[in-house]
Amino acid sequence: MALFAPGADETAYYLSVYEFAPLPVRLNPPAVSSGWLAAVYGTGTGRPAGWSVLRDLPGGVLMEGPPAVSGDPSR
Amino acid sequence: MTALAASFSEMALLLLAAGAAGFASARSLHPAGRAHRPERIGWGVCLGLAFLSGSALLASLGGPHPRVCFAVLAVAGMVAGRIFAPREPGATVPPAGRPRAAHALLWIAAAAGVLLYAVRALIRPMWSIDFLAIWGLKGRTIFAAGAIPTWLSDPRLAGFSHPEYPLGLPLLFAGASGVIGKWDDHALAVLFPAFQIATLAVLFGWLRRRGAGPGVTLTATALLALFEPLYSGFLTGMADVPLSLGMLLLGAALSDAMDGTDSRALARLSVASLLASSVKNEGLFLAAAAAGVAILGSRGGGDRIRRLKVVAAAIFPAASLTVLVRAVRGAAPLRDFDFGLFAPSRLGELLARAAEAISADAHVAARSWIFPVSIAVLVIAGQKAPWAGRLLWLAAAALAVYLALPAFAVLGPEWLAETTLFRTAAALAPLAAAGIAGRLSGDGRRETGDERIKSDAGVKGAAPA
Repeated sequence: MALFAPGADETAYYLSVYEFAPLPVRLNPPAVSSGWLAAVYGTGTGRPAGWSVLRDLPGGVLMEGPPAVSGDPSR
Repeated sequence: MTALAASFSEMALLLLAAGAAGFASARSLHPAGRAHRPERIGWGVCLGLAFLSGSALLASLGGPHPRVCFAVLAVAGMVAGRIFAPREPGATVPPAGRPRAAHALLWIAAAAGVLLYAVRALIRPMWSIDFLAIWGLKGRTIFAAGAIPTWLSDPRLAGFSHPEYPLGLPLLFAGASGVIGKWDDHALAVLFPAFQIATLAVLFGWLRRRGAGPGVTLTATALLALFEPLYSGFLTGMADVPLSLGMLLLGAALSDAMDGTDSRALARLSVASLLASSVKNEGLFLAAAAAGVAILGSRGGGDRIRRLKVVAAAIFPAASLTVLVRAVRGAAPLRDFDFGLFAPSRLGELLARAAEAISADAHVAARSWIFPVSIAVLVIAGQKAPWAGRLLWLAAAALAVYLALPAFAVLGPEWLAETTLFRTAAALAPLAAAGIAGRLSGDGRRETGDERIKSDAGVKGAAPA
């Protein structure tokens, strides 16, 4: 699970990692491997092109990227 | 019954079952009789919890359901306890003398300490950052995946959770959850008061068996039970509480093995070495320190073969486990530390870091001055008692490392000293309590007359330390 959450601190990251276990979580990764999902939060961030929305989340969306996406989709 | 009460009840029942199996298994580690019974209770809790950890490990390696693995391990342990139970009679317990009101008050204080910790531990789900990021994360992952995923060893994905840490505690969380069939980080907190009770049982039993009077023994037990810096809500879910028990088991078994108190002392030392090193990396260091104490504490006397056996029993299990785990999972670097500072070209940087570390350590010590001052006074007030002093040497060795490590911290000496020094030093409390109480008792005669341990026929007599 790739977590794109501008301003998220370490505590929020650790809590999300714990809650998502046994799935590995990366916070604002520069690249996302194929097969990963992305939880994109924040209103000021554009949704990554080429990604499809699986469902809305409170304050964000759950997205599925195409295989081997690279680059930060929050930009 | 609420869902929370039901979860607590399930966990308590599991702990009772594991403790009973462990108690039966611990027959192989202690001679029969009253003198060893409190320690056997503590060891029973440890072995029972080890069966739970083992069940998660076996299941993660492709074995059957953790419930089946736990049953197999528990039965195997009980059978081994029966087969390998020592034939020798146990040592006698020094008479407690007339019941005193002060003793009753100390029992009440110890019970209050247990109750207060239970409240602190169980008032809410385990919440500390280290639980979420390290111990709980790994336990939850192993439980939910039914395996030890490789990403837990990947520094890019899980570097923050310290892949170099042993998996004993996460496996315990996973094993207990696997047997119950659900992950409940509130009910799992029940494990921690169980660790505390086991620690107190071992402390009380070992001090009484080695000849300490009931007053000093109960005082040490009550003070440790009430020691909030160790038995806190914050540390519940982290490895410090189980490690503190492992270190006490190691120290007590080391002293027994050096004195040859009974035929199972070496076995206890071996198992304690394994348990301590399976919880935290310090366990391996403590095992090496125990070997050092055995070598230095036996100089000029004693049986050379027995000394070698003690050294081997202390270090071999911990070292073997470490080598095995590294062979299977790969060697993960200690990511918080930069030991490249030992390079001759960085000597100046190392000295500057050492000065910073001393300053940061002193700052932490000054803020909690009451503890080091009290310990220093009590150590000085005691008398020479090698059987107890060995535990203080172990605690001192660990403390020296904790004081020195900030110099190598990647994020700086002040950061490490401020975030870890107090809590890691607090985990040395059981060792310190046993060592100080032993020194205050001396050879055990002062408080209750000539009540030194009398070993029954067939038991090896005490050797010079």
